[in-house]
Amino acid sequence: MDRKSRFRNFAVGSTFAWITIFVVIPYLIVIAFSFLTRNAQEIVTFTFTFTNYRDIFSPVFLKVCESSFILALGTTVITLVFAYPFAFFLTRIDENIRRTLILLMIIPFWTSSLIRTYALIILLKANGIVNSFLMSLGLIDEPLTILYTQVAVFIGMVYTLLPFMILPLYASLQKLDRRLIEAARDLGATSRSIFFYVILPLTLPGIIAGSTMVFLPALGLFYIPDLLGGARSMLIGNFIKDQFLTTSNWPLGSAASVILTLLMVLLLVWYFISSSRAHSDGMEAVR
Amino acid sequence: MKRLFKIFYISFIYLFLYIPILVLVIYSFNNTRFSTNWHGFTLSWYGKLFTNGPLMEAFANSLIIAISSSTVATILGTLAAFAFYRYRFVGRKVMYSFIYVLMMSPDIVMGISLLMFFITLGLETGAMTLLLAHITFCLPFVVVTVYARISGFDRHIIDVAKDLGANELKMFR
Repeated sequence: MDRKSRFRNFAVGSTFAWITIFVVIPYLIVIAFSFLTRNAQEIVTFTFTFTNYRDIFSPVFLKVCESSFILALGTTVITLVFAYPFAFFLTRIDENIRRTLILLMIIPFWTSSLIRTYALIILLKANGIVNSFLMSLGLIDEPLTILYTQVAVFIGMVYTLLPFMILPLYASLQKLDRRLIEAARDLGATSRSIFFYVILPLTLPGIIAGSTMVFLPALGLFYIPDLLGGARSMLIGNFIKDQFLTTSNWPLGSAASVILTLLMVLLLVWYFISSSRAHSDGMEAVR
Repeated sequence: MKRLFKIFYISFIYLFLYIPILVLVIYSFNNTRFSTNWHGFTLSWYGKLFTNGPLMEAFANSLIIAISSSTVATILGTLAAFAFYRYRFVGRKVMYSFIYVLMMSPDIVMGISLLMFFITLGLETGAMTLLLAHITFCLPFVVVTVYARISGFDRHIIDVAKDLGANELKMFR
């Protein structure tokens, strides 16, 4: 065997081996567990059953799914609304300053998001910094209850996921050809119609990419709602964690993991299809 | 007016991103044990930190895991990205989509699947399994980044290298 194919086999082989052993097989085990029967003494008995999937589609779990979906969708919409103008302004800033600004956005991510969530608790609690600040300004008379409400959960989620929205948006806004905007203006388009008919369609791939990058992690995050929401509303992530660590119902937790993973794969497929379509549509809109 | 709004908006976003971190730093000098209110300046927490044996040991452990897992993940990930880019092999697309699924799947699902895997194998969970999990966790990020980089550079460079008599291993380097 010559050296060329030896290196090829090594590179391909190690990739294959690692992914098979540490990704494919563990997932297969989860799938297998989701069809087994729960047994309090020895975790599971090897009896094939669909019970877990029947239990999963109970009103309780559907409620859990619903609140996870609302939270993820809300987070996506809020980050999009805040990130879009920001990314747009960023493209209009002097190159050198812009580089620093982008670096500054990434740096917070070098600290643990768990620690940053604790910092948010200090800020948001009843006698915390935000309330003291607002009271000293005379805007409010008594402290607002923010912590352990849905508002705090949203603040935490947006805080953690905002850069995941900004970066793809920035990338696609930067690629936007300014001459197209100028051309539209020369042809008498108002700012509003330029935005809706030129800028928005052309940056749709960025919007879709950013939304996927925010929505998918938002579905699975469990410690932010736990810490900031006071575990009031159960989410898919918490649900799975509880099945393994608290109620030790591994088969049910596995079934929930399978459903969540399937959902994500579907969303990823949708993302790839729609982003390639959005790209050609964007081009179409300009023509 | 427009410009002012722009600057205001950008500063607002950065304040939002940095205030919590700043608060955390300031509060590390706070002279109180439990309360989250301000009780005066102290350096005593830092003194306690460096004399706290278990905590420093935990810190050392984190550092060891971080360094070794990122090293292995980088090597393995670069190799994988190169394989995905350079070679056409059976299951290439399937493997690459696994990388994406791995990257986007919630940490909890991945962690639990690995936990079940280790338990099924009868492995004692500890530093070794933690290391393996961390490498797997970091791998897709390396692959995707490196893949984006090498697809950015010219395929001709590889052809030239080949013409000049470089073998695959040299080209990789």
